Amino acid sequence: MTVVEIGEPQNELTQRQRWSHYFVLLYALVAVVIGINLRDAALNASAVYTNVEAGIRAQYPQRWLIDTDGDYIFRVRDMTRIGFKTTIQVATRPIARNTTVRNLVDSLTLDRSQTLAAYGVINTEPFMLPNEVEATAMTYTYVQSELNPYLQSLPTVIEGLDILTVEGDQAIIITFLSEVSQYEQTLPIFERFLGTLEF
Amino acid sequence: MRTSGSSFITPPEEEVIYPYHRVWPSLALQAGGWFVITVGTYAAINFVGFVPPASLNTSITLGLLALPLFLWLIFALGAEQRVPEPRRRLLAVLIVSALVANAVGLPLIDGVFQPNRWLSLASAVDRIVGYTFTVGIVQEFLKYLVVRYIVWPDYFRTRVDAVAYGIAGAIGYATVINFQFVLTNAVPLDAAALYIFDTLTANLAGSIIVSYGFAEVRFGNPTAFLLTITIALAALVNGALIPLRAGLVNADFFFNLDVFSLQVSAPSPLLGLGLSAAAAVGVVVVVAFLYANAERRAREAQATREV
Repeated sequence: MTVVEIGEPQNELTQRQRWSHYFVLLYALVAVVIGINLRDAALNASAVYTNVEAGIRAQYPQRWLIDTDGDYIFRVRDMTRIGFKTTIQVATRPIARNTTVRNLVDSLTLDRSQTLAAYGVINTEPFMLPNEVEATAMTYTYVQSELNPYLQSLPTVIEGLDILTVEGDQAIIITFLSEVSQYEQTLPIFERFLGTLEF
Repeated sequence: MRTSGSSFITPPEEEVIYPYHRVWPSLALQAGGWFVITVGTYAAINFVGFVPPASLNTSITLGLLALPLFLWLIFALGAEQRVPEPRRRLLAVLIVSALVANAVGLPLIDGVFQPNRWLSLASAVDRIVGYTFTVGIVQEFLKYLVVRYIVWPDYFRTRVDAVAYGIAGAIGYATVINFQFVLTNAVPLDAAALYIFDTLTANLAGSIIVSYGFAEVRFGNPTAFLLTITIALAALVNGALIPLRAGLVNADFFFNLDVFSLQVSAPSPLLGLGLSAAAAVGVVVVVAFLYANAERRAREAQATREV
């Protein structure tokens, strides 16, 4: 009986074998950096929205879906999110000359408490926009349920942030809405958006 | 000397016993098993109308998840015990690959790269490049590290040892991905079967490509870039399979004579299954050819030296 033994134990690596593994490590490092750069470029890429009539210009995340058909100037949503779509919305509302931001906050609270489930204001505080315009930030939550009663799903808690400011005879309401569990993670996107907003 | 028979027989010639477990037939049995069970599950639910009782759903899903491991234990690890020179660290490679997938691979892909957030709506080319440099490279590099530091080069005695350890790593890694996906999402049984098969074949194809690099670096004298090239190629195969499969599953291959009517395109999961199977078979055939070629060249070189 003959036993075929092909390989032999190898104690020391050759120079070429060592370099083979060094190149793999180098390639993996470069590939991971490329992957992170691709991700950052995709997630932070922005598109410009300009509305001459409303006098607004902003850069919104490129991969978000823009919509200008509602009772707002424009709204962008992250359609890749499962469940509630993270939303940034800019709306204006005509106001009387003596209307204050406080009146606006109360008006929004009244409106929303009648239309949104479990609506509640968490906090209201002064806010300075990047273009040095004084504003008020209002943080709130509400619950959104699936409209189709046959779809079995749990209600979603939404956290919102309104930046309210008065410009001439109109109030500008900049809104950020996100699922409460993702709020902190997605807030930097809104902050970048605010940094580019001009009106 | 008296004999009980009517005639003498020629004594057997000296037998040449191959002392190692043969890898390619074992792989064919395992892959055949995965394919039959996947197609059987899909056909039973979609063509026969079999609806599993709700109480058995979890058990059947767990059975599907454990099937690749079970087949590997029978046709690879079990078979190794019956040969004179078994490969000793197969189980270690499988377990460490699974642990690495769970501890590093999944958190890195889901938490850092998050490809579903930025690649799901990208163009086909962007998706291939994106998945190659995220999911593909992470998977292949981690499996490379496991084989490199557990068995290479000391436990490599023949070229196909690289394939055996590569398969073990692929099954360990893919099993963790499958468990994580199927148990954290409410996936129907037929979709779970297809997902498990897709993940297994993609990992297998990648590992077999990299195994060729390992084997050549150990036994041959290739360029120092060969191993890197195999890892890059394996990552590309993994990265390309994800969008191509999704594209095929959602493509409309329905030929409609009434071109003016609107038709809703139903997903075609069998096309995705076909692509996964074809990719795995294609990779195995090409790499097996390269192995055979390398063995032949090694034999010829040895014969030349002896002359």
